[in-house]
Amino acid sequence: MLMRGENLRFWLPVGLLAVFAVYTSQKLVRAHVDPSVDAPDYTFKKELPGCRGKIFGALGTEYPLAKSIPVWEYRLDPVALTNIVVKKRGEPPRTRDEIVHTIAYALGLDFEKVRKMALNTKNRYQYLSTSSDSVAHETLRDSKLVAGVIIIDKQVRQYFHGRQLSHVLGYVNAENQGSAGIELRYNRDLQGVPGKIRGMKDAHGHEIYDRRIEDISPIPGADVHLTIDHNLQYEAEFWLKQGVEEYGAGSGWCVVMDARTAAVLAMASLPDFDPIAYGKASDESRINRVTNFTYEPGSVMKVISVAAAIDSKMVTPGTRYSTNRYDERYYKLPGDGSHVWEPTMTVKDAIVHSSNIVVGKIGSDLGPKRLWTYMSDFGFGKKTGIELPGEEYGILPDWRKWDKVKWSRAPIGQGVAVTAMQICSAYQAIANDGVRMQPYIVNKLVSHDGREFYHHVPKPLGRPISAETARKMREIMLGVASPAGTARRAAIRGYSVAGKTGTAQKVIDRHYSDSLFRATFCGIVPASEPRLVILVTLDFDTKQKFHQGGNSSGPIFKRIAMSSLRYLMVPPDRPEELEDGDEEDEFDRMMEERAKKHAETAEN
Amino acid sequence: MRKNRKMSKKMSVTVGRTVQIGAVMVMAFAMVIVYMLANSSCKHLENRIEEKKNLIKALEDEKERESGYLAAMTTPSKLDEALLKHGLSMHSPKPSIQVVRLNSKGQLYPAQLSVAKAKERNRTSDVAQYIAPRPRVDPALSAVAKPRPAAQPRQAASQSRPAAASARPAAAKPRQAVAQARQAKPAAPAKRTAAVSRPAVTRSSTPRPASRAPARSTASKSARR
Repeated sequence: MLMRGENLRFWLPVGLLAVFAVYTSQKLVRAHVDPSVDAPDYTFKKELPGCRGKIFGALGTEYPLAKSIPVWEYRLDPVALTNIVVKKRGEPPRTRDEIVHTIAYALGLDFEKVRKMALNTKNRYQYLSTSSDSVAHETLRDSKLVAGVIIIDKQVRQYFHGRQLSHVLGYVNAENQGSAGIELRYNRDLQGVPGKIRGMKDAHGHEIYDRRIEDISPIPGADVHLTIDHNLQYEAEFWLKQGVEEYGAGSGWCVVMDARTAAVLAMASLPDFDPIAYGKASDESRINRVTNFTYEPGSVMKVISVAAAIDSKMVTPGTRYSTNRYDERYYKLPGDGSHVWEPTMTVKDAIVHSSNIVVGKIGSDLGPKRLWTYMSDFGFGKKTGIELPGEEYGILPDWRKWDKVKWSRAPIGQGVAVTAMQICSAYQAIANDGVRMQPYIVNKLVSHDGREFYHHVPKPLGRPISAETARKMREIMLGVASPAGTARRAAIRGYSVAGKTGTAQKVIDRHYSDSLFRATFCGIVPASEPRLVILVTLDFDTKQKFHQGGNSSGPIFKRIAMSSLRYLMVPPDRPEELEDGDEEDEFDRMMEERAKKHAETAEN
Repeated sequence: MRKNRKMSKKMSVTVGRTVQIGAVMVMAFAMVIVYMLANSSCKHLENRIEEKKNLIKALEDEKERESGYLAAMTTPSKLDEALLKHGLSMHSPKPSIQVVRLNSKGQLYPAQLSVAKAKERNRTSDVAQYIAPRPRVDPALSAVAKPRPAAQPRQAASQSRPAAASARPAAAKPRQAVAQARQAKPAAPAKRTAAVSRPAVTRSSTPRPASRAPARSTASKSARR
């Protein structure tokens, strides 16, 4: 049926419009309902990482110990490198080899290696390098020179002292999260809050600034200020490392602590690791042996036992004890090896000569309950509370579970396990007139806007012994570093040293070894007005000639103490010993040897 | 009424429709032009702000990198290496060759062997004053102006009244005391010191105060043992 002309003119546009409407509706429905349809997404999103806070030492913000540095990570897209034409005005397009050469030269990479990557078009996101060189960055972002280089802004954590302080600072993982040490303990404070940008982008992927919907700036993380003095740390680590090599020890650790506040000025543990290449470090080297490792302390514990006996008015430094091991009053006393003593010995001499028999008798007389109480008051068997993750408790069994053998073994440091930090803390109490302070390593936390939101105030943990007993103990311990004592090699001319040696047998297959030892020396300098408490321990994995605390750890203590006292400008308390100036020559010799060693290392 | 009609006729001058439309279009065009100019200017400013922001960020990053390089170069090990490179072996100064140094308050820096030795040899010498810095007052005057101890037994106070009375005006008027002491002969301050110290002898009969060292609480002791 034919239509008239008017009807045709009316219905034809209507029909066309209807078809268009149906087509559009169908398209709209598909676009909104059918997920398989790809609609171009012009949403622009970018996360702005919050800059991780810095870690400073005791010397202030001029000397950071760890800090995040902005760097660029470069990746190669071989497809873009091949397809995009790179040319300067009036010049012919650059060839692929020319571009590859520019990339390799800018990043200091091997040309052939980059060329091989450029030929591999299957992988469009190949890692080239990470660099902080701004000249290389300018070159590689120039679209008239190179193509196919993807540049990613990143933050890389830098540890300026390398392997030094690795156990204290810890490290951050690939996700920029703290994984050990201070980085782990204060991760929440250090990492900050990331920001973000949300808006629209153009067809080239560039953000359209006036279409920005959301712009939240990142908040940088807080800065952590430690009590560590990096110069003291350097001295401590240097002398410890040299000592470990010199005496053939498998590992070693040391702590330098302020005698009044218990602030840790230096802490070293060997073997150490590189915090940048933490993945390559062995599990053994990652252990901070100062806080996360327990061991039998050996004779350094005798000081605690004698201090307990004196404080409870049971003995005085002049009280005499029989040196007969087979005394009927006591049950299975420990021996003193091949030492031949006088029939009787004073309490003071028992410390000076480190007599197991006499201290064992003192411990037995004191009784397990009192001894345990004093040990507990000195902080053994519990965490010291230092701000480092993974601190061990140590092992101090309940006195009710002690058998009669332990009565005489615990006073000489057997049958109990402690951390180096616990020993140091106990000696700090003796140095500080009996007041034990909480050891600490974090001085303050400062937010990015300079607000100090945490400041450590030295905190007393208790008074295990009276001031009088502490003074007496220091007097007794002076004899240890005297010519008659077990650690004459730890004596420092011009300064009084109060300390105690410890040579603990290692437990191998549930038995005390006769050839493997842990040699410790813990000392207080100057003894008259204590400033520093220094502990040095060497752990011998093989049989060595100088395995005793006085012969191996003592000299290391002396070197660390001499360097530290000079650096801290502590006045000599025995100036009369310095009249002839011999000690200065000794220090000079020590430093010259060190310089020679440095030179040899540099040459190698 | 006529007048009004004329006025109303004069006032109702009709404007042509074309002119009206033209005026509206000109206004609209002008507004569009103004908007476009403002928009362009804003965009230009926005771009400049963004550029500056990026520049600031880049410079801050550069500063961080450079300070990082500096920090890496000034570690003790690197400094040691650098010194050795130039054939220098340096370390902390010997206590015996340190220069005697005082801070702005006149207090002594520690670790000075010469001063430590002097301290041992002669505590009453002039050097000793520097060793333990005190307010710089003539020792004779300080003895005169020394305040009396607050708590004294009644008997002792009554016995020492003449001496105390002689000392009180000096304490109350230190300037006068200074002048008197300066005028006085060198032996005079020693006599006065002796006069002042006399009550201390009588006081010695009273029981001494307990030691300042904080004693351990008996409760904790008994609980522990």
